[in-house]
Amino acid sequence: MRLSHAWALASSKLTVDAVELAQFPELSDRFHVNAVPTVIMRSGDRRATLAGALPEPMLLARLLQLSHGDQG
Amino acid sequence: MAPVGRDPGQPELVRLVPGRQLVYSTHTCAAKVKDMLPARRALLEEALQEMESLVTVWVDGNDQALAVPDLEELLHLQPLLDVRRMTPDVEPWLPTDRYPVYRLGPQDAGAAPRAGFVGFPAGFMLDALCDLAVALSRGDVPASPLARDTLRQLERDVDVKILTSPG
Repeated sequence: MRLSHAWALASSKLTVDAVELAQFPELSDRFHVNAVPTVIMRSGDRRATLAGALPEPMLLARLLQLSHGDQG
Repeated sequence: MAPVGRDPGQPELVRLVPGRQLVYSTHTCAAKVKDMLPARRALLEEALQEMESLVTVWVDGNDQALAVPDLEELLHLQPLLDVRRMTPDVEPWLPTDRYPVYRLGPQDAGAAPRAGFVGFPAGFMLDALCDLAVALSRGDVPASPLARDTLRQLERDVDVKILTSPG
């Protein structure tokens, strides 16, 4: 989470919100969350969902793909 | 103190309404706040003394959401932190009617707040906010070289939501 927040402060193209999932069970149903953390990235009408704790390079690669219009 | 107003174009200082009933007094947040006083607050204030410039924390949510105790704790950190209310471009599905969204970002003109928290216990949220605020004020954002290089290559805006728990 802190990693992603640091990204948001380093780039004007990125907004990152961390949501306490236990307080919003409706979001678990809505986004079919079965692992914590679950990261949802959106750029325009493209969306990627990544479940579980993933290494930074993998998250950054997905971020870049999405920003470049690749659903992956 | 005056009630909070809402004017997206002209953010106002956040003020709690005296005597407002807490919306979720049984929430873990209340216990965390109780534990935090006053030594916890002193630690946060000490950390914030390291800031080299004032950082604004933007708070969004309806009046009910703004009655949470963690916001009161945040207000205690003024004027070390500049706490303001605004209506950022919050996603429709983000439930700001129950909990405020706390966001901070660079203070350069026109910059939108970019790093946010929703629904976390006060102790955790304030720790994280203060860490980020100090780093931001010192121009020492802890993004790795790989992250900085990747972020420079972003072509379109990306919105990221991390659904998680503080544990």
